[in-house]
Parts: sequence; structure tokens; C-alpha cells
Amino acid sequence: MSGYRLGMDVGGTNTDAVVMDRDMNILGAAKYPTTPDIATGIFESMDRALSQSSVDPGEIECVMVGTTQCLDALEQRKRLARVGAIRIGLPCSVEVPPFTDWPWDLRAACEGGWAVVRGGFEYDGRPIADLDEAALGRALSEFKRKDLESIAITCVFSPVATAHERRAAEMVKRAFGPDFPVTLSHEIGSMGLIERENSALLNAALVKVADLAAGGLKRALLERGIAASCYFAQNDGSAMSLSCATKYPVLTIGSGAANSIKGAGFLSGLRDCIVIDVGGTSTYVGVLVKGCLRESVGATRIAGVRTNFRIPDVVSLNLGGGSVVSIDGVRARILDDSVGYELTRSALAWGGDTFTLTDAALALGKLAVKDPMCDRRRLDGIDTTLCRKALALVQKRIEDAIELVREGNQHAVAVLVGGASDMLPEYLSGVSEVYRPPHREYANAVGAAIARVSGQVDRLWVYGESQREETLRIVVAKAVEQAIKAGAAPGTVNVTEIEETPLSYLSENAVRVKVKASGEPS
Amino acid sequence: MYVDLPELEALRLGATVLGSGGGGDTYLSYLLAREAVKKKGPVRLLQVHELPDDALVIPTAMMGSPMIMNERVPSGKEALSSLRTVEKQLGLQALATMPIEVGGLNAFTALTAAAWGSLPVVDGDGMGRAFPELQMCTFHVYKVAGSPVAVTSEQGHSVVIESAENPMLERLARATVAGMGGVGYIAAYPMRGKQVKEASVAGTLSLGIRIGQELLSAERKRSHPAGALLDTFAQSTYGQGMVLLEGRVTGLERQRAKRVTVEGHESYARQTLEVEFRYENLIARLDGRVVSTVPELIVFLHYETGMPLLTEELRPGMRVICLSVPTPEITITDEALAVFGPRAFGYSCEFRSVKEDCWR
Repeated sequence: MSGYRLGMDVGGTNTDAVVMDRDMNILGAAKYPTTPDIATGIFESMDRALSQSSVDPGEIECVMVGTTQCLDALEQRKRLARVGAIRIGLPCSVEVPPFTDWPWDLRAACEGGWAVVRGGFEYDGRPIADLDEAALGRALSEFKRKDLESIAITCVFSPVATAHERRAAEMVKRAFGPDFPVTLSHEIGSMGLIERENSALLNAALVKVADLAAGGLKRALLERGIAASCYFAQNDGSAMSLSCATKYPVLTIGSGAANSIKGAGFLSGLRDCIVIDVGGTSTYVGVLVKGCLRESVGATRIAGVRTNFRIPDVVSLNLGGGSVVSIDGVRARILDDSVGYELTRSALAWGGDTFTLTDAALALGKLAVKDPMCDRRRLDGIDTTLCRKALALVQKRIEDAIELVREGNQHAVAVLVGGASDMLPEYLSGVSEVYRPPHREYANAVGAAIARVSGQVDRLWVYGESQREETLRIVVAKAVEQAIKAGAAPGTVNVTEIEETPLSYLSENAVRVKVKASGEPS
Repeated sequence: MYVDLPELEALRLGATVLGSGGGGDTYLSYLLAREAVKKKGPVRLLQVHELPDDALVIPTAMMGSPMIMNERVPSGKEALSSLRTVEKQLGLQALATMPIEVGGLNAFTALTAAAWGSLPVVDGDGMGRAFPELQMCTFHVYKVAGSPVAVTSEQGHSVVIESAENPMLERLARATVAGMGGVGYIAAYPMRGKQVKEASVAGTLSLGIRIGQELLSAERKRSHPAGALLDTFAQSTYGQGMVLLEGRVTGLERQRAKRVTVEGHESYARQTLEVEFRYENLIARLDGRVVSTVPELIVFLHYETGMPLLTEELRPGMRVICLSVPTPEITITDEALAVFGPRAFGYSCEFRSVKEDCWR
């Protein structure tokens, strides 16, 4: 057992790779612009990191990948699948049909039609009505005439009883073929029909993007003779197997932010800190509390859609090395647009015609870029006062974000990570100290590489005080089983979180139990 | 005044504040109200004093578990159907409906019923906040008969309950709701305009809308949400409240004793606040001393966003602002406190108003 692992981060601008050994020492690290086909960027950065580490590709035992591809696809409404929604639970409301309260453009990009049929369960698992298979069959033949690429099925109280969702999935597979992508809501979301359905619909919309990312990765690994087990990072910073990730891409949506925060904690050795990750397209400001990610509270909106899974609690800013600076007389303004992975073509220092924040930082000597194609002399004519003004704007926006995320009134250390973080000054208000750890430009990939593999169970149980212990034992066992199914090594799994929430305004003792377990990749 | 889409959006926040930590998440009820108003047009808000003395008003509400409602998404027409059932029982037509409970999701139940039924809604309710039981309301305190009560489920099942005793109505309605799977939509306490004037907390829907508007504007302006909120209450029949503490949640017990502990920071450093809750926040103790009790509003705001928090949204480590607001005179008379004061919730302490601390 060599124990080498490869951590990768496929971001909007760059693809990063790090090679680490069993003791989590960084042996090699590299960066390459993300390519539209995903695979090329992976190849290039992986090859460079591997040759730097002089580890043989065959010795890599596991590959952990974090990506913002899914989030970017939703935000940009690009490459989304056309989704059909099936809701089981008539006469439950048709007044609030699937896709209600979605941003219109996202809806236009992926809504393929919806149907509501009879069925569903009570909170204690008794059926409200039998699944109306005849109506479902009619809905499916209607769906057949539409150009659907994916279907999401949501049934009333499916987190308690899964039978109707599973039966409906069988019928979909029979009608559309065994490989047709089907998302079952109980596998993704928890209680709350609208939020769970939204999560399932977003997931269904992402299957093409997920296939592209997973395909690119598989091709790159195969070609380099890496036969390692492969994992994708998810929202809470833990990992799941590649096959899980292609089935549940929506669970990777917050992984970019989660990885940078965890990576920054690892690189700095700090368990409590503010993390500022300045990438090419965006900046995350988040917090590490006692070594854990702080998670969002209550419902979260993703790309404008209300969902109920938890994502890292970060402030994200449309701000990065590729952000476009607009000059208006003596004033500088930072636009929301970024040149993204075209930085090395469009930015002034590379001979392009777009003035970016990277150019401003280069002109002031705040940033060093190793790329031979980048020539600082191209910036000689630039007004440095304007550059300074642009960077002052960046500082102001980041300090505002620090104010939003910081805990209590004691000032914490700010750990600066990300490729463009060097353009930030030595001093930031709201923090006690600014720390720039080594390898900071690879924090995301490092965060992916150190992830544990996790599983979770979030279910409703009706139990009396006497059955509590017994119930918890069952739920814990299920969570451990989930972690192993997601790819954790059986001997290493332990429980990381137990949360019990009694249901309010109900006479019976119904309790929502959530258990998370995680272990080392197998 | 009419309630249209912007008012509904503001009411989401205002109703949560009035819920005092309980009353359920408002999102789904808000969506249902929005869909109803989109299809049927804005709902007219009738001031209590505008009501003719002999006008019939039938209040409406959702009863049961909000979480179950969030799974078994209703159409929003169930409460209207209960109202029609009560009308049939009485052989009379209602001029308007009104909320029984303005705190939480039930602020929207009556509005939604009103929209679907093309009825106006009375600007007031029977609690001025959220309470867990049907007889815990000023309607009951001031001798309005709850009967007949109609309960309708989203599956279309319907039950009519009659009893001369309001607490018995609560028991029977609760059992009916359990039989319907944990959630039902009711119409109860049918009354005349004269009774509405004597037995309701007036102006609470428009107050909820104003509070929400203030919170939204504080969010836009990035100004302190508590100030705007307290000012709005001070200009209403509720009166001047105060911030009890700003700090971080350090303890949270949800099993037997339900209690949240907050340690103060900055100007509240070294102070500890303990809030006991059941579904709503009920008793606030500052350094061991009771400073505010039910029926006063004890509200947690999320420090970073300024948004009101339900008790189930509280998490250890979370930064919060806790404030307390007195409630209108009609809710703190001896008769009222006997029905929903601290003792009605099993506490041995007497009612205590935050006003006593405000004047110090």
C-alpha cells in the first residue's frame, strides 16, 4: 500500500492538482486553465503535479475531485438537461405545481413538463392512497412526446416510505430505457415536499454536466494508467464515490467553497479561522469553527431555487483574478464579469485587450505569475493609481464580507488562499492577522484530497422514550452502511453527527433523526 | 387597504416575528397565498372598527404540524371549505374571515381563504402572536363560543364539531386532525362584528406587514434590524420593547426541558440569557431573573441577516439578537393570563412584562 492520493479541483478558471502521500505531505502541485472539455485541463495539471512529485501514476490509490462545474452550470443556465417532474400525492396541491417560484430563465432552461398523480404516505408510513399507475402511465406517454433528458420523482413523505418513488422509477425505466437518468427525491433531500422536489429537479437538470465532468476525469485517469478509486467532494466537505456523484450531482454544489475552507484549515494548521479564497472568477469568505465548516441554516436558495440541504455558510463574491476592471476617467470599477479561463488570452499581461484585476496586481508587483506567456512589460503604460484604486475596492468588498461572517467580537486570523489571493494587502480590518500558508494556491485541491467519505440518514421516526436508544442504534447503523456504500473503508467509519428534532404541534412523539458517519476512502 | 403581492412578501417576516419562535415556517403558506392572490386579486383588509356590529365573521386557521403540512401540500382552499361548512351549519353567510393566529404560517391561512372566497379579511386575530391550542385565544377569553368548528383535510375529508365548551372543542379538533394525518384546516369562533371589536387583537395583520417592510428595508440599508422592529412595535398597541441580549447560542436542550442559552458579547458581555420554549419562546431569564414571559413576544433575530428565527432554526454557535416586546392590553388582563399566561404552560412564575425593565 503506497497510500498516495491525488486531489483535484476543477474550477471555473483553473484546474488544480496536488499529489499527497499517506501522511498528507504535499509532494507535487500544479495548475492549468480549465478547458471546456474538462479532460484536457485535468490531464495537464495532473501530469505536471505527478512529474513534480516523481510518484508513478500507477501508485496513486485514490483520486478526490472537487468541482464547481455543477454550480456554474446552474448559475449560468448552461448545459442543463430538460427535466420532467413527477409528483406523487394527488390531491396534494396542484396550486403549487413543480417549478413554482423558480427564476424564469432557469425554468426556461430546464423545465420539460410535469405531472401529479395519486399516491403518497402519511407521516407514519401508512399509504394515503395506492400509487395511481394508470395515471402515471398516461403521464409517461405524454412525457415521451417531449424531449426529456432526465426525470425527477417526488412522493409525499418519501423520506418515511420509499415504495411509491421506487415503483414509479421502475415504470420510467421501462418506458424510457434502463439507462435513462431518474432522480428519486428521498435519495437527496429531506422533509418538506417543495424543497425536496426542487433539490431533485436541480439534480435531474445536472446529469449532463455531471456525466461530462465524470467522463473527463475517467478518460484522463484511464489514459494515464491510474486505476485508483475515484471520489467527488460534496457540500459538507466529505467525499462520495464517482458513481454516487454522477447520480447525485446536486450534492457537489457547495463543494468548491467547502474544499477551500477545509484546505485552508489544513494548510494553516488552524482550527478556528476566517478563510478568504480568491480564485479566478469568484471569492469565498467563510469560517472554520473548531475544525468544522459552518453550515447554512434553514432553507438555502441555490441558483435562486429554494432547497433544504445544507451547504457551507460562506459569502461568495463575483470577484477574482479574472474580474474585469472598467476605467471611467480617474475612477476604477470592478465588473461582475470575469474572463474566467480565458485569462491567459484576454488579460493585458498576456497580450489581450481586457484590463483585469490580475493585470492591476501585476502592475503593482503584488502578484508573480510563472507563465512564460505572461509579460509584465505589457503593463508598463498602465496608470498605477488606477490599479491601486481597483485593489482598494477589492479590499473593501472583502472586509465587508469578513464583517458578515466573523464570529463574536474577538478578531480571528484570516487565512488567504487561492491563486489570486496575493493581491490582497498585509492588513485587513476585522481580523487579527493575515496568514498566507504555503501551497495556498492549491487549497481547493488539498481540501479535496484530505476528505473523508461520508454517508447520512435523515428520517422521521415515531417512537416513545423507551424505543429511543433502539431507534438511534438502527439509524446509526444505516448511516454507517451509507458511508460504506459511498466508498468508505468499513473499519474506519465513525459517527460524526447526531441530530434529533421533535416535530412541533403534533401530539404523537415523532422525531426527525439525522445521523452522519464518515470514514477513510477504501 | 389591500393585501397584494409585496404585502404578502413582507408579511412572511412580520408573521414570523409575531410567532415568537413558533407558528411554523411561513414559506409554503406564503406561496399558497401568493398563488391565490395572483389568480383572484388582492384581498381587502377590513379594520375592526369598520365592521358593522351585526356582520358575521368566521375566523380560519391551519391546525396541526407545519412539517406535515410542508409534505402534504394543500391547495389553500381547505380553510375556505371549512368556512363554508360553518356557514351552512349556521344558515348564514359570512361577511369576512380573519386569522385566529397571526403568528407564523396562520397569518396566511385566512388571507388565502379570503382570496379564494373573494371575501375581505379582518385586520386582527385572536392571539396577537402564536399559541399551540385552539382555546388559547382572546376569542375564548372574552366568551366567544368556538362552536361549530369545521375541520377539512387536503384530501377533502371534513368533520363538524359542536360543543359548548371551548377546551373540549380543542380536544376533539386535535383528535380529528390526528385522524386526518396530523394536519387539518379549520373554521371556528363564528362571531358578530360587535364581538370582534370586544374579543380580538386589532390591527395585527397590518402590523405584521409593517414589521416585515421594516426588516426588509433594514436589510437593504444594512442597518440594525432590532431598532426598526422595536420602533414599529412602539408605535402600535404592543408598546415599547427592548433588546434583551446580543450574543451567541451556547446551549440548546430540545428533549425534556426545552431551553436555549445565549452568552452575551460586546456591550452584553458576561450576561447570560436563558429562554424556555415549547413551540414558541415562553420565558426569558436574564442572569437568572425572569424579565419577560408569555404572552409577551420573545424573538430571536439572526445576527448576520437580521431575519427572525424559529426555535427549530436555532443552532449552537449561532449569533443572535434576542428581544422582547409587550403585547396589547387585551392579552394581559387577569382573564387572559389565566388562559395563556405562564401558569397555563405549567410554569410556576407570574406574568412579568419587559416594560418593567424598559423604564429602569
